[in-house]
Amino acid sequence: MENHVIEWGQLVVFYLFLAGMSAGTFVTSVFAAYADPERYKNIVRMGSFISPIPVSVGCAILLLDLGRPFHFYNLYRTVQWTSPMSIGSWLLAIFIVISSIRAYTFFPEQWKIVKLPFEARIRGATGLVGLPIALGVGIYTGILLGAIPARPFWNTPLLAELFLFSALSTGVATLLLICSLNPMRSPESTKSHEHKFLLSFDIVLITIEIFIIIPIILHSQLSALSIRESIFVILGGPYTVVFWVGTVLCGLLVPLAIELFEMSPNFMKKAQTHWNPVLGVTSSVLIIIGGFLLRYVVTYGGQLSGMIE
Amino acid sequence: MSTKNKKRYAFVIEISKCIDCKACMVGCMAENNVPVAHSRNWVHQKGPNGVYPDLGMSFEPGNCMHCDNPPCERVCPTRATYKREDGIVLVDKDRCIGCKYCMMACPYNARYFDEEKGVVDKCTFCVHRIEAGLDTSCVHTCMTGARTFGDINDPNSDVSKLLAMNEHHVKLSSAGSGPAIFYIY
Repeated sequence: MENHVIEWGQLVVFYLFLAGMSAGTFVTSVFAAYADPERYKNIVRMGSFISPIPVSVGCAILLLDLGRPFHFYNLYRTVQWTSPMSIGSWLLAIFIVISSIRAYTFFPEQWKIVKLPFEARIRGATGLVGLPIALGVGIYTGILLGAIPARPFWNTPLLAELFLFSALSTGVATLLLICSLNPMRSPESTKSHEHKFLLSFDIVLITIEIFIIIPIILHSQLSALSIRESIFVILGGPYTVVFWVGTVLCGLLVPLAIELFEMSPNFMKKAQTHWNPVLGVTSSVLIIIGGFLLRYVVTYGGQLSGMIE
Repeated sequence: MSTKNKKRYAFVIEISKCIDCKACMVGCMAENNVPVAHSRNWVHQKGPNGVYPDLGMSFEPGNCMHCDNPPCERVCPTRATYKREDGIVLVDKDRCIGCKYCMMACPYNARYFDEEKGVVDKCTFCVHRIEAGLDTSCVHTCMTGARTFGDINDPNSDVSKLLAMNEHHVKLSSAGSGPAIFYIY
């Protein structure tokens, strides 16, 4: 109703973004492992290496945002099935453990303090169990906000989908960025197929995101008054420019165009992908920034919305 | 059945009696040691309504609606927010971690964050006063009698009589939370 105050600020935005990025790198790594662990060796390894890091940083940030950080253990004294945050905090804890174990199995031999027995099997098991958990982490960040009827801007099931696919895309972009910064990369290298794997996966993800945003905008216009009013924050309201220029144009459309260009030789003939580190860095950085801005706009904009009598 | 004897505390607020003096807010802050810059209750101004020269304003006091189906309780990850048998919704300060999720979920923005204690707080229906057989602080300080507090499951209570005799409304009924503050216009 009256007086809207932003209670969830930058720290929550960072957390939502980092948790999504981790889920994305993990899922990409496991998908690549299921496709062909030898052919996509670097994606599998890098994805697993990175995945526990952003989410751990994000959780540390999230603790700082709590009113009483030292009482966070109260989250783990209960499971509240009706509270997305309760489910999410359990998913996060499990995800951090599983992704850390998986990352450990990819350490170079000289780094390993403890030798794990049945390492290959542990790696396989973490992938199998971790995949649904990682998808859960990706989707819960959207449900966390989406399951709040009091904030009409958030209250759509599509938000969970948008956050999930955006999370996967930022994960792929992180791997693309690392792949692009790798000085060993060249069109002649045999690893070009890994570039193609990441590009094609990301093109699919960004396309899905666009087709989630379109119905969100259209439906909001055709919906109840509270929802119609709430979408104002991105249609003329304070976050219009950030959303349309930052998230949609720079975060989705431009990187999609770059990635399609990079893939184009592959569409025409059975040629390799375009390999240009500048393009690769540009598109992946744009996707990562766009993913962050999406969460910024949604987190802040939702808090400005309220139910109308 | 036990539901017959079960208490259900509620407010009835007569809008026409409110003169926007805000004594309820001051009384509450003093009674409950509410931190500066926060308030557990409010008086919303409605209007001006009508067409000149027949203009008017109305004032709508409110506080936590102590809902039947509290959205804040549903989303609380630590079970800090809970509903008592008599319908009063409270925050257990030992369990609350200050995540503010309940503040997002409340359709009435009835909650505030207590920066000093690091927990979320709100109206308690002056549970310490009712249990001592007193009125709530806001009812006690209201000079026009706009607020009435009582048990709506007791047909002889003041609130039940008011509700029986007058047309009444709740705020944001579409939220489905079943608020326990009834407004008479």
